[in-house]
Order: sequence, then C-alpha cells, then structure tokens
Amino acid sequence: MDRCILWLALVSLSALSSPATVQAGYGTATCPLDLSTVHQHPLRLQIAFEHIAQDRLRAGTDQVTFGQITRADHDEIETINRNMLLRLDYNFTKRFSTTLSLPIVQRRHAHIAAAGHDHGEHKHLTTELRKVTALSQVHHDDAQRWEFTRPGDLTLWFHYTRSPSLTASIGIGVPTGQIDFRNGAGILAEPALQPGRGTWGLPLESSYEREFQRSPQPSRLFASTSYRVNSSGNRDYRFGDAWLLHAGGHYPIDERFDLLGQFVSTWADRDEAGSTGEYTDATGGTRLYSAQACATGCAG
Amino acid sequence: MALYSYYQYPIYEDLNQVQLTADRNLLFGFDYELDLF
Repeated sequence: MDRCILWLALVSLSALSSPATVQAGYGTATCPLDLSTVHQHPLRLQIAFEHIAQDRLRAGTDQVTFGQITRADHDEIETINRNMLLRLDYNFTKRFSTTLSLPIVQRRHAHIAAAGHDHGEHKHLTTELRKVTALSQVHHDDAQRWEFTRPGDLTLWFHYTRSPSLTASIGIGVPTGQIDFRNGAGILAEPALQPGRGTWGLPLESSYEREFQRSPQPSRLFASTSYRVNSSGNRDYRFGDAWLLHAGGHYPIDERFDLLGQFVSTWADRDEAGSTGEYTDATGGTRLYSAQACATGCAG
Repeated sequence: MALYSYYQYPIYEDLNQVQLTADRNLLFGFDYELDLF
C-alpha cells in the first residue's frame, strides 16, 4: 500500500515539475469546494478526480431547452469535464505554508455555431452531430466539437496562519495552460474552453476554522472566502473576477469515518472580450451549492 | 491517508444570458501526508 501511494506521489511530483506543466491552464468548470484541511505532517499530497457534466441550459434562474434562447455566436450542446486536481501543501513553519495546485483538464465540448459567426478565424465545417444540427437548421449552419486532455493553469499559494484558527492567503495564478487548442478541423476553441486562461491571476483568501473536542475525534467548522482578480490575456480577453464563499464542517461518526458538508456561494463577473470579437454576455453569474461527503482515514 | 468523495449540487443559479450548467458535480479524492525530514 505504501509503495503504491509513494509511486502516485512521485508521479504527481514529476508532473508538477516537468516541462509539460508549462502548457497548463484552468477551465470552464471545476467543483467549487474547499478541500483544505489541517494536516499534521509538513508535506501533504492531494489528488482528486472530478466529473462535471454540463448538459443542461439555464438562463437567469430558469431552465431552458435547446433553441429556446439563441445566442449570436453559437448555441451550446454540452461540456463534459473530467478533471484531475493535484495539490501539494508544505508547511515551512507553524505560521507559514505554501500550496502548489495544478488541474489536469479533460474536456469535451460541442456547440452549434451561428451562421457567419467567426471566433476570430473559424472555418465552418459540418460534423457528425447531425441530429442536433437538424433541430437548428433555421438559425445555424453547423456543429462543432472539441476534446482534449491538457494540464491547466498552475496556482501557487502562500499562507500565513495568525492563530490556529485564522489564515490569510495570497496566490499567483500562472498562465501555464494552453490557449490555442484547435479541434481536428483546425477551429480554435473559444477562450473559456481552452485548458488555460492565458492570464496572470491574483487570488486572495481568508479562512477561519474551529475545532470542537468530542469523542472519538474532534469535529470542525470552517468558513473561507476568496476573491480572484484576472489580468487581460490574449488579445486583451479578460476573465471576470470571481468571488467564492465556503462554510461547512466535518463531523466524525467513529474513529475512521467522517461526514463532511459545505455550502458554497460563487459569483463571477462577465468576461471582457477585448479585441477577440467574442460575445461575453453569456459569462458570469451567481451560484449556490450544497455538498455532502464521506471521508475515511486509512493507515498508510 | 484519507479518502473522500463529494456529491455537490446547485440549489440556486442565476446565470447571465444562457449558459450550460450541471445538475451535479462529483469529486473523489485522497490525501496523503508524509514526513520528509
């Protein structure tokens, strides 16, 4: 068991340090969860896999069907995200620590482009998505899809713990992700679909947590909030600022199992198109999530 | 070492114009701590 874990750790560490991470990025969707917990040893490796199937449409607070509301650039069909999240935490001292995080983004996206719309340099080609295309012949002239697995943007965090329960963090989002991915037909993916943002980011975070002693393990409540400012990127495209608020807790059932839960509120501003010619009216919004989890500790 | 799995779902969404969204997010992960020195 130990050998297996150490092998995974070495693979992850090599992924973090290899030249491939220079091609890294962020993406359309990740689970907005606070996975940071207190760790007893100086070094901790976190590996998480997430599945997000964005296959329904919403306008404002209402669910809509395909074609009910048309966009000027394209009508969305689906985006399927299967990401691997790598995170390395290291405590220099009790007060100072750092975190390096990198998503490996696997994304499949399909949309139907509006007639005449050009994401800067598109050539319009018909794909095999004929079924959906048939539904939209009045408004559109073709369907397009992209599929890739690429490293995302690297984020480096620095944490300062003022007291055992209060931590302030500042990060640097490094534009290491690819921003010029094209599908097999040579069509450039829109900025929000690319593995990377192509911009530097400045995330700030503060968190508070409190432990309650109880048998057999302490329970824990926490709250954290973060705000990320993005700089302008390729052709002055700028991703909207984003604000997150987490509140949740861990409750031990017995010596090995914990119940975890958290509420997450996210707000994202509209993107700014710069000189890209992209339509950014369908970006940004407010979301509130609930999340439940089960965790178990295993002897390594 | 700890293993965990999250099931996350939106309880409120107010999105600009029309956007794709998911009715659930799934996450499975593990933490591994070690002493280097």
